[in-house]
Amino acid sequence: MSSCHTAPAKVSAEDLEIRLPEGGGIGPRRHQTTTVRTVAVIGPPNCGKSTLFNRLTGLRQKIANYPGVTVEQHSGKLVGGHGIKGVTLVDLPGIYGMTAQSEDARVSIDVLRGEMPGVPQPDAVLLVLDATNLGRHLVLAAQVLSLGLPTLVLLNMKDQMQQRGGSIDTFKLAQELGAPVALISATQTDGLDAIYRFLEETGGKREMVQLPVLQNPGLCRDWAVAVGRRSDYNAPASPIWTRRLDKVVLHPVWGAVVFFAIVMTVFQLVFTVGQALGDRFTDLLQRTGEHLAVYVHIPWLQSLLLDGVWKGVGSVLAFLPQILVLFFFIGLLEDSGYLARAALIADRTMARFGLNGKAFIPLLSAYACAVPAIMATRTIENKRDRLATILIAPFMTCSARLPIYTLMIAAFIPNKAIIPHLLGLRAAAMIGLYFLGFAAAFFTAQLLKSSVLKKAKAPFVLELPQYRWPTVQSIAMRLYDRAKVFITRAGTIILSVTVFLWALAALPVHNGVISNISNSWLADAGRFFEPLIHPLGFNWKIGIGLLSSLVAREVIVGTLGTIYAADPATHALSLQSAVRGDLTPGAAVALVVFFAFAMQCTSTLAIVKRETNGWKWPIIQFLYMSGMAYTAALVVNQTYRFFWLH
Amino acid sequence: MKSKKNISDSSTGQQAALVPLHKLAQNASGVLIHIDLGAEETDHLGLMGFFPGVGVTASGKAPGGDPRIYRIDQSEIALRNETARNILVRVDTAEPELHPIAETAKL
Repeated sequence: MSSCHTAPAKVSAEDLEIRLPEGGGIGPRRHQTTTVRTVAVIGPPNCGKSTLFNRLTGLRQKIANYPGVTVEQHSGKLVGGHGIKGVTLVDLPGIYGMTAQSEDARVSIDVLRGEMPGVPQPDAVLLVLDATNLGRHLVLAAQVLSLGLPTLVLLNMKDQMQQRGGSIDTFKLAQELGAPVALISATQTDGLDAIYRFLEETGGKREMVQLPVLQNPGLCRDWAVAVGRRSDYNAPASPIWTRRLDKVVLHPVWGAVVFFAIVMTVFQLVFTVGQALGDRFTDLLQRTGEHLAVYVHIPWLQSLLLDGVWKGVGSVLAFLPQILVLFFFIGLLEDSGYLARAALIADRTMARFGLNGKAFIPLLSAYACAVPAIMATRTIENKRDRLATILIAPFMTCSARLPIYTLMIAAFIPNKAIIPHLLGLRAAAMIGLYFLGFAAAFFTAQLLKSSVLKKAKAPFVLELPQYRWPTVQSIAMRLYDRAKVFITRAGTIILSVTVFLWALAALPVHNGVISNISNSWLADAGRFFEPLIHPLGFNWKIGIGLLSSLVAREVIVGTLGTIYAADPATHALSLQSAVRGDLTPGAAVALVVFFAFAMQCTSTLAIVKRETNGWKWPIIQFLYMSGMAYTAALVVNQTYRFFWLH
Repeated sequence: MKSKKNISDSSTGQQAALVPLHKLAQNASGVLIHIDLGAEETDHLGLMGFFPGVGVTASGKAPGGDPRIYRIDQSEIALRNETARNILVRVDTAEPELHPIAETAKL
């Protein structure tokens, strides 16, 4: 019978010379033989590893209040003085045990065992456990300690444990584990000195400590319970507010009301607060451009800077406020713990379409961007479920679609209220577009799960986090990072594309005079493709926009900004007015429907290739989504023509 | 086996009413007796704290009643009913003790 070794650690009396630093029982002193260079930060999901990593490195790995936020290893240099130089911390995805159930857990286990290419085996380990839930997490402690690496056990969330009446004797726990233990709060930067002391005093060598060999989970759990008891662990009370909130959030009626109220509020504010801020920002950009133009006297250079660069890049940047409003609310939902409840609420629907409930969180994060969402599918244990989620994630309405959606809605939908002060027509149209992406994703999931990815249902197991107050710092960092990504893309990809398109719109030069756009190379190229897109109701200008958006969706707005600015007929008009004059309502709807379904993101294709280990699935995905987008846009425009123009 | 079952509980040697986990009444507690799932699923549930002998409380459910939420130690874990029906628990007859701090603890 396999057994759980409860033999005490082979720790000599000298080794068990326990030191008691302030705030926690850093345990046995280690031999100092070599310098620590690489330190792994490991622990169960959602126990605060990335928060600690960010505190120790000064970096900003994404943190949120649900399990599975970190799905690959991230490295950073330890900062914070204390005279320790050259130590690299490796933040790892959360694991419940040393057997890999999913791709993200495989990463952690490979790194800990020194089997991850390109990552040196750690010299030491910071094992982060949730102090409010120690009973279960001690099983993982035994497994990690059995690797034989010098390990500091960090009991995180000290503040929450104490607030809810919990306590532990870290001195006794250190004796039980044969490893130093410190009680910390990563969010409040409390007790982190213990980490620096551990790294100063720990050599690369560790005394072999024999802790339980965990082949019998039941016996090992008994061991963990016994260790907790001998360490005077008094588990904190379960958080009463989490229970109370769950009674509302998961209520059969109120749960749905809360869910839809949140969705409506978010989109309404995107179109009220976000739009108002966006209009002011556009106005500011326009005035600044006009002022700058005065200083440029060469006509072609003025045209390049004003029509090409300023109007092209500016028309995309104008949507930054709306994107930030959306991300502010996504941040609140992620950090509060509501997202995991939303996954629970959505599971029944997901199951109906053959999807694992765990797919909900990656799909929800695809509202920001499909790239991290596809990475987040690593938390899904079942390979077919994971592949299905990867293939449908790009249908979810990412923030790159927001500029074109907002532009078309503002251009074609009147600003009227459906429910006064609560829901406007424009916000409803936007919710409809989000729903369209969701429906396409689920239709595709059903198609996949009933054909090529058919398989028995995989179990849904999800740990629900406690509710927490989102912190101003966390939300601010999230907005800063998102703004940085958006502005960087505007300053690189979009800038390059708009300058290139401006050049094509200005060439050829006749007798030193740049071309009228209708006689330009750009128009020639656009007219070459026009027969293909004419049935969708698009002219050559939209065609050029579609071509440029193959790089990234939001590029179309920059492209249209440049093209309409270069055209004398629309030069003086706002982009909204120019688009409204150039498209029928049917073509406008066809355009947003095309964007809802089409795969226009090279970054997403690259990440799908990486995660599926080949080009097969990204090619299938591109062809499928493009075909679906074209067909849907064709049906929309032709239906409009049939019913409204005849 | 989807409803109550009278089988011998080896831990007590007595006849005890065993019910599938998804039939455990809301806020009722029990002791997990047996998991009848494949090795991979059993291992995964084990990592999440589902072992024979562990105490479990039905603490909540999704608005449609599936999945349901179970408390093990301090963790709240959601399982679909199709999984939970393969887990047998012995129902506690005594009222679950409320932690004295539970009513005053803050978020």
